[in-house]
Amino acid sequence: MSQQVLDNLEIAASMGTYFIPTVSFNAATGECLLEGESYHENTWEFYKRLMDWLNRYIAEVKGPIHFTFKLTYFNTSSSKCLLDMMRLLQEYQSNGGQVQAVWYYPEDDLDNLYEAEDFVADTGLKLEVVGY
Amino acid sequence: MLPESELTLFEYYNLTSHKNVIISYKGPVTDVIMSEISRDIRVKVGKDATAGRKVFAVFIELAQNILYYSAEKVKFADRNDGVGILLLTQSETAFTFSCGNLVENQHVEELVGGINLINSMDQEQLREYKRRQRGGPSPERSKGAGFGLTQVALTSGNPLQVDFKKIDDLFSFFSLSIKINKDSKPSTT
Repeated sequence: MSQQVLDNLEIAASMGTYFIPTVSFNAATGECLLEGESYHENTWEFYKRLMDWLNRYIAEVKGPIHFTFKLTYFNTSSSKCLLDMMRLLQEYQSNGGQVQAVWYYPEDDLDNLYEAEDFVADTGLKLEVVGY
Repeated sequence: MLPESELTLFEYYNLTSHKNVIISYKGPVTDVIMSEISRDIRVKVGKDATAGRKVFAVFIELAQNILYYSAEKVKFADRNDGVGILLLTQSETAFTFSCGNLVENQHVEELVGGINLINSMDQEQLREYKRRQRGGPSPERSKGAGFGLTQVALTSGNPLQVDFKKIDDLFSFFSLSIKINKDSKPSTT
């Protein structure tokens, strides 16, 4: 049996007991959006789905990635997972993959800006940082 | 020590209704209770945009520590929730978030060492330290990412104030207070 074609990954944001960000990863265009607040019951499980998708996209589709990070809150467990995700993007970038990554932060939230700077310092990912 | 006379419900009510008290809670810190309190915090400190965000972030990390690490547990059905006490107060210039829970005496030294190390660092050093902790593997006893307290000190910009009261041969009461300065008042001109 041949492997299934990579589907889009869509997760709707929700603010219930936990805070789930919007996830919209497009397998045809490589447009990836992660937006909102991130605090989970099982953080690793949540981000594993995203990492699995990205790993498959990189291995099978081998297309460009345009990643938009627009997170207004994330706890420390999410922060660790985001670091892994940025490492993966950087690896793809340094292996010749076309990666354009943008981090949006609210202009009055300097902590959020520092987080972006720290991700860049830790991973070497070319990350455009934009205040809004 | 508390006075010999019994605390009346009215006195307790007055204590928790003090004008400086924003949130007070004692009991099991479950995920549902955490999310309810976090919503309440957002509503009540939302006017100070920056400080409000910081209070919220500090609350999530510290409440989760109680949920994960409190040595006092409430067992209900298949759940096993950490018990603790949470208090958010305000003065004119700052919010103070305090939390307390039982810890096993055998973990006190490690906890104090970690906190003293955090308190010995300035903001730049803390940022470096957080990056080192985040980049490495999670510590052995950690159920989270293992740098919650470092992040709390970094977010608040103030030292962690801690206290231990030994209760018996097994347990101590651990309390932690952190101050978050309010946003500077916008000029009235």
